[in-house]
Amino acid sequence: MKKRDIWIILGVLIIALIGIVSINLNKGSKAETLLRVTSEGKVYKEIPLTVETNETFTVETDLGLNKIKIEDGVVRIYEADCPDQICVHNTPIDQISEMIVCLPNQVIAEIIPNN
Amino acid sequence: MKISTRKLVYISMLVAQAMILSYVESLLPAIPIQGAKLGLANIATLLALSTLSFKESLLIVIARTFLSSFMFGNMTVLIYSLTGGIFSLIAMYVTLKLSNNNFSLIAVSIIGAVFHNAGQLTVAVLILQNKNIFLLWPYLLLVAIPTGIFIGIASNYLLKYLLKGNFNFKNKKVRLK
Repeated sequence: MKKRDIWIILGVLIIALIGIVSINLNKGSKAETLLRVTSEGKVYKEIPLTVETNETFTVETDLGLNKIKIEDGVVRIYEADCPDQICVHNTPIDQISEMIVCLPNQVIAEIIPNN
Repeated sequence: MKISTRKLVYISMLVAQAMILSYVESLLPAIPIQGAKLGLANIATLLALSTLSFKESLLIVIARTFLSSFMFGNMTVLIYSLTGGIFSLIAMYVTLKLSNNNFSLIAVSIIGAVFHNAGQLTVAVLILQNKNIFLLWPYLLLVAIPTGIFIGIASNYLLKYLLKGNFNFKNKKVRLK
C-alpha cells in the first residue's frame, strides 16, 4: 500500500457516505409507502404497504419467474429461477427508496412514497 | 498481433484463472447488498494490465466474460459482465498510466470496482428503464473499498511471483509496489 492509495480510499468513502446520507435524509418522512413491482420496464403491480400487509404473488414472464412475499410490510423475493439468485439473497426491504432487483428476469421491487 | 507461444500460454492461463475464480466466487456466500461481490476475476485483469499490453488485456476480459457467461450464466449475464469488465478495464488502464507509480494495485483495483459498478448500473438503468437503480451506487462504493483492498493485495502477491518467473511482456520494467 502506498501513501497516495489513502487518497483514493478516502475519496471513494466520502462520495459513498454523502450518497448514503442523502438517500437516508430523503426517506426520513413517515409518508405512506407503496410497493411497486416492475417487470420489463412496465408496472406489474402496486400495493400500499402497512405493517399489516401480508401477501404472496408470483411475477411470471417469458424471462422467468420471481415469487414475492410481503410479511408484516416487509418485502422479499423468496424464490426465483434466475441463474445468479442475487435477488433471493438480498436483504428484505421495508423503507422508501430500498429496492430488490433481479437483473436476468428484469424484475424490480421498489418501495416509493404513496401519493 | 504477433504472439509467441510463451505469451499465448500465459494469456490462456489468465483467462482460465479468471474463469475458475468466477466459479469459486459463485460458491462463496453472497454479500447481502444488491449487486455487491468480491470480484475475484479482477485479479486476472490486474495481472494482465501489469504485465501485458492494453489490447491483450482487453482480449482476456472479452474471452473470460464470454466463456463464463456461456458456462455459468445466460445472455443477460453476458451483457452486464461485458460492460462492467470493459468499463473497469479502461478505468484501471488509465489509472495505471496516469499514476506514474504513485498508486499501488490496491488503489487501481478500487477504481476498477467503482467503474465496474458504474458500467453495470448504467446498463441496468437502460434495460430496466428505472433511474432509481442509481441509488444503489453509494452502497456499492462502500463495498468497493474492502473488496478492492483485498483484490489489490492478492494481485500484488501473484505479480511478485510472475515477475520472478520473468512473465513480463511489457517493454519497460514493472516496478513492484
